[in-house]
Amino acid sequence: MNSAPYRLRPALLRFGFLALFLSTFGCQNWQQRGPKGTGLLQKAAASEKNFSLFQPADPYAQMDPGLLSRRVFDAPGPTGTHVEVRDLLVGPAKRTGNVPIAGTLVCEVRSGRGVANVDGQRLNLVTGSVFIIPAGQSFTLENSSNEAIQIRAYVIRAE
Amino acid sequence: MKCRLLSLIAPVVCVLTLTGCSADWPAFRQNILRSGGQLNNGPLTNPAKVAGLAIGWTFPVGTVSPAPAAFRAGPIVYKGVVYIGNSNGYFYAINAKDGSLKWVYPPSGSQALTSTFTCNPSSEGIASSAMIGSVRGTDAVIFGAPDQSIGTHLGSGRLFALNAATGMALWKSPEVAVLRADGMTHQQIGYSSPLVFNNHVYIGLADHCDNPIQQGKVVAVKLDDGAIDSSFSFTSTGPPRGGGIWGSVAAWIDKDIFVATGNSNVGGPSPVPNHALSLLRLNADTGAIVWGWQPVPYSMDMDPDWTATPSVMLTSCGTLAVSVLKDGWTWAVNEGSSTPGAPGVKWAFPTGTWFPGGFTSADGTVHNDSRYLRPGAAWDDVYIVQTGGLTVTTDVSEGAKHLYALNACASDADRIRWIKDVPHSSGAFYSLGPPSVTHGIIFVGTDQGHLVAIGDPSVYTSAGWRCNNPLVPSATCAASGFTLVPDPGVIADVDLGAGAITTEPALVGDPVYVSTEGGKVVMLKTP
Repeated sequence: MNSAPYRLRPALLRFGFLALFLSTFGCQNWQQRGPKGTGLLQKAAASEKNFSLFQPADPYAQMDPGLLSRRVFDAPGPTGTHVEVRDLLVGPAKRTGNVPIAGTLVCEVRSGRGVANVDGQRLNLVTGSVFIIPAGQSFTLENSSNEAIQIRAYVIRAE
Repeated sequence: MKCRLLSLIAPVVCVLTLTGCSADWPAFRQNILRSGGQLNNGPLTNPAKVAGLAIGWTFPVGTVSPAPAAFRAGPIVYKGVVYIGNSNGYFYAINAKDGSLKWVYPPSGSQALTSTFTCNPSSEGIASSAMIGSVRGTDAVIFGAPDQSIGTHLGSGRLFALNAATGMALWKSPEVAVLRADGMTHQQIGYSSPLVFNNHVYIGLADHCDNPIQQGKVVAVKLDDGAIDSSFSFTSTGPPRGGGIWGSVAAWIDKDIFVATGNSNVGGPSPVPNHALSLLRLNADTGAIVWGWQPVPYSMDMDPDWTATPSVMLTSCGTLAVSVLKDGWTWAVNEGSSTPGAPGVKWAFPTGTWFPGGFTSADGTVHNDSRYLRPGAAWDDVYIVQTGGLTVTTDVSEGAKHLYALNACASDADRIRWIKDVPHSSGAFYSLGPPSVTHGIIFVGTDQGHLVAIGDPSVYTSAGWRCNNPLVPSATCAASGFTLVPDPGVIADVDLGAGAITTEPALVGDPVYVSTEGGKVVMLKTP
């Protein structure tokens, strides 16, 4: 048993002195910091229309209800084919309608998780998964998470 | 009794000065936490005054010999003097009041502090921002630089402590970054800024342009005499290579230090041990690892060096070490206790299956050199940084166009506080320097040579709303499942006409000091 329970260790004494000094003379911000920190900003109202002048240079556009898309680039493919690279985007908690496609789609899920339905076949999507939608078929995408599903799609069409 | 009183007061004064209570800017990122934040109130915290920001003076005023070339180091400011090293190998002390030269080291005509091995901007002259310390009771300005008078006379790196008033050397450390003519050994201090802490000076070592990559190290020298303290030792990886420390060491008053390390995979087996691509907490006395966070495994290492100096954030949800990896992901790790063990990863931005366990080869992510290397600025619970953003997995370069403010203590859904496309920045890599912040007003330099002040919407009217996914038009944002976030307002936008700005603005009460690629140091003042 310690014979001097009330004797403060030098380090503790220094800490106490530091705390006392800071609370008395320290920067205003030491006192302001407190447990609340910096509060979150007010969120936009559902009907908010006061948009800033910012416009993305190469934006997504709606391809189908619930599905955003933008072209990355396209190029001639193997003989008689053309390859278009597109990004597909399904926002958090959104689902697409039935999307018809022209050509074969090879899809890489770059982020997010959800479900793809390709002509009745259900596929679970996770980041890193790859799936193929054969030519002439249609698909739906369903995002049940709080993160967007981002897909890099390679559209292969006959020229 | 006097000694006892001194032992109580000295640490308080030291902590107040170095942790952010100094009205000066005595260190890279202002303080030992590397927060990039000025805590004191002044004209720079008043948007109405900041709106009138104008150039006061531009150094060099008149003829200065030797004439400065590009500045790759940022300015530090202490007791009315601006201290800064230059790529020409000279270190300048400038009177903060009028921009006149106070002294230069080494004296004009002496051998400049340069390396014979130059391959990128970090290896040209002095790229290391300085830090103020007290050497045996004398104010000292301490920096790292190559020196051809030591080692094999090629320009090995060492630390210098100069009398802040006179520019006379108080000490010069032995060779800490070894440069040899063997084609293999080419360590350098580069951009790493010294950390004065725990009666030592800590400096990180990386290399000259890789090929081959060197083993990253932290070296500690004694503050009193510059002698290397052999009781401290940290090397990022085992042989042959990896884990260079390109940024600076951060610290907090609980006696540990924080570093981020570069990559190691250039083919072949992984070095053992391998603490490359890691955010690490080290024991400040010994260099022993307390914890390490390595989100990118060796097999996925395609050169996403963890280059950005970590910030220690004192937040309402605890003390965090936060930094962006060069691949565009930002990570926040709980500082934790001093007990060695696994770190507690607080969040990743953007989040995904890689949180909290790190990336795996199955997740399809790519981790290469995407140039997210500027340190962020911490303002209480807000971290301001150039980072990849929500599009990092599909368009990694997109983030280079934006400056993000992240809520460090919010849920993932509320992580983005605001996004700003800073005017007069090209949006290419290196388009912004490191941001600095004071009470919600952010100052950042651009590659087009402008100093821009931006107001957090809590202190200044925003410019409206925009989508948290920067590739989704604002008008379709909410309907597409995304969230509108503020686009903060620009308070001031000043063309310095002095070349690109790649360094941090030093915020000192009223004046702001900025260094430029055009070889200028500019002082700006409110009306």
